[in-house]
Amino acid sequence: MGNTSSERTGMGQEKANRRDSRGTKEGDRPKILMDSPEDADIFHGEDLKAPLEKEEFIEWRPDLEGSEKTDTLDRPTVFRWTGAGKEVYISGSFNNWTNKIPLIRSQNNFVAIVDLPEGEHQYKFYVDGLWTHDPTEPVVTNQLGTVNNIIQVKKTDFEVFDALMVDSQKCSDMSDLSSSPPGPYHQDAYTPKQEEKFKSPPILPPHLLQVILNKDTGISCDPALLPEPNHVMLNHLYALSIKDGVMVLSATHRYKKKYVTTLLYKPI
Amino acid sequence: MLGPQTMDPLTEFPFMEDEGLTMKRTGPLQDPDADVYAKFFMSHCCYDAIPTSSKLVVFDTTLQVKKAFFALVANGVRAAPLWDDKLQCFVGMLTITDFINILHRYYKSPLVQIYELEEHKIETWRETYLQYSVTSLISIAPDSSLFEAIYSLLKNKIHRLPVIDPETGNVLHILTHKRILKFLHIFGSMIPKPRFLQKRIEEVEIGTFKSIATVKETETVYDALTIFVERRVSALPVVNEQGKVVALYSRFDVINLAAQKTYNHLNMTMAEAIQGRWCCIEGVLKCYPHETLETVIDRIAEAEVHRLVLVDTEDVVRGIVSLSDLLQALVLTPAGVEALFS
Repeated sequence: MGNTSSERTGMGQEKANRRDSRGTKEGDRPKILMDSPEDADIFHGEDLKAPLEKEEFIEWRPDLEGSEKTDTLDRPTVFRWTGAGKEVYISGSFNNWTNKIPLIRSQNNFVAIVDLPEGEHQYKFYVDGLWTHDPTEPVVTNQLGTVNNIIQVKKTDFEVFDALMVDSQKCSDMSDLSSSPPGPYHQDAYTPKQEEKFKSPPILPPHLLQVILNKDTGISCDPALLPEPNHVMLNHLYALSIKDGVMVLSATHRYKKKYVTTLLYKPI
Repeated sequence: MLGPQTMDPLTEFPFMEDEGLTMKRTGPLQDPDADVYAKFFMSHCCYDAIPTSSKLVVFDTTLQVKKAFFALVANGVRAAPLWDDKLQCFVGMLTITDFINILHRYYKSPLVQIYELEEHKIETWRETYLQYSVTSLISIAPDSSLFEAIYSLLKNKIHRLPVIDPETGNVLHILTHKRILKFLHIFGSMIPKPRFLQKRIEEVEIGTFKSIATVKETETVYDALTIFVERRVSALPVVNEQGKVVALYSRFDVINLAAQKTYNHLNMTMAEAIQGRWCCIEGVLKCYPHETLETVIDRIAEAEVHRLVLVDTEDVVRGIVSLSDLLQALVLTPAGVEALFS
């Protein structure tokens, strides 16, 4: 009796260490109720069920050998225990039933998130020292008559993950499970630069402002000679300001390869 | 009397059908290359002599005469075609000769304003002027040869020949003797020079040597205008009492009276008028009887003047060599055409 009790205490300590290494939080609840009047019942119960527990363990081995292992990506999968209990653990074919993963209390539930590869997995809950299955979830009965829960991990399970995120945001103690990367995020509205000035288009093409009659004719002493005009100047009518009641009009025309700029003096 | 043999070599010229033309030869052609210039000008048309880009001043016939002459001075040109708005065509030319004729006709004294110059329109002046000589505008097409242009200039005794596009009726350029000689001076180097260019002035007798129109420096500007009107010359040598040439007074100097607004003082002497010129000519361009024809042509073309004064060793005026004389001797005479003296 005493040996059995000491072994279980040591295993509990090992589990605690494992929990610490995983970085999960531990509750402040006492692990062993030594002063409770029900201690005698616990001890007797354990003594009676010891062979049965071993038999269950032996019966599980064939299932492990038959399970298919795939190299698909792991998906975060949610396990929830809605029944009563003080200490709840989970184990299954995904870890070869070698260790118990603790579930964290969340209000009236116990929840754990485990990364599982896509496919079929069998699992069972270890509630207050008893292996049990969740009757509200799918179950499967092996050849030995053992009833286990079964779960199909699919890509669509992420929707459940999102739902859990919403649920976790409502509880402050769940915020550390998942959060956005650290960094400043802000929504500054884009404002156009005021320095941009919209200039109005020029009134005239710049080359039309070069009037051929206003240019210097220093190329020769003959005042009748002019520089060769730009082609855009041809056939444009220029007018001089009216002075002494006389209007002066000028236009440049091309005759074959020669250009002639005609000035017409006409009284108003 | 013109024999059939004389007519044959000249039938290739289209203007020979002109009834008023008097055809005769000054003598048999002594050199085989005497007509090299005539052929040169026949093979080039007026279009070739037009500058690449030039300015042309046109006056409406309703413009006032005074403002028209001011416009000539302002633009630095010496002639302008006249546009008639009613007839929708060019009807004539306004030149410095018109300015001289108006001053000479209506000038009375410095105290009396020349009303006709101040208020008359161009069309009014033309109506008065046309009573004595009815002439239409003499023009030429750009496709005509320069030979025809020279003939027209000398035959009609005009100095400005407008080149009019027959399709549009636009004036393209105004041809002058100076422009044609410059054309020859620039492009004539491509053809061999005829041998008669080496003859001396006194041998070829090119120019005017008798009854030369001159004006004394003691005479008035009005006297000079009178000579301009009567003799139809383009310039007058100004001589002193010993007959030596001291200056040259041309028609262009008269238009400068409009620029300086001194056309009301025609009683000043030639000496005063010469001193008052703002564009002072350093000296009179002269030539001597012993110089060759080629030398004279090069000098007159380089200086871009219309005439040279032929003087002797004592600077006494002996003659005038003008562009008209040169073109007649170089181009028309070898072709057997005497347009200048007909």
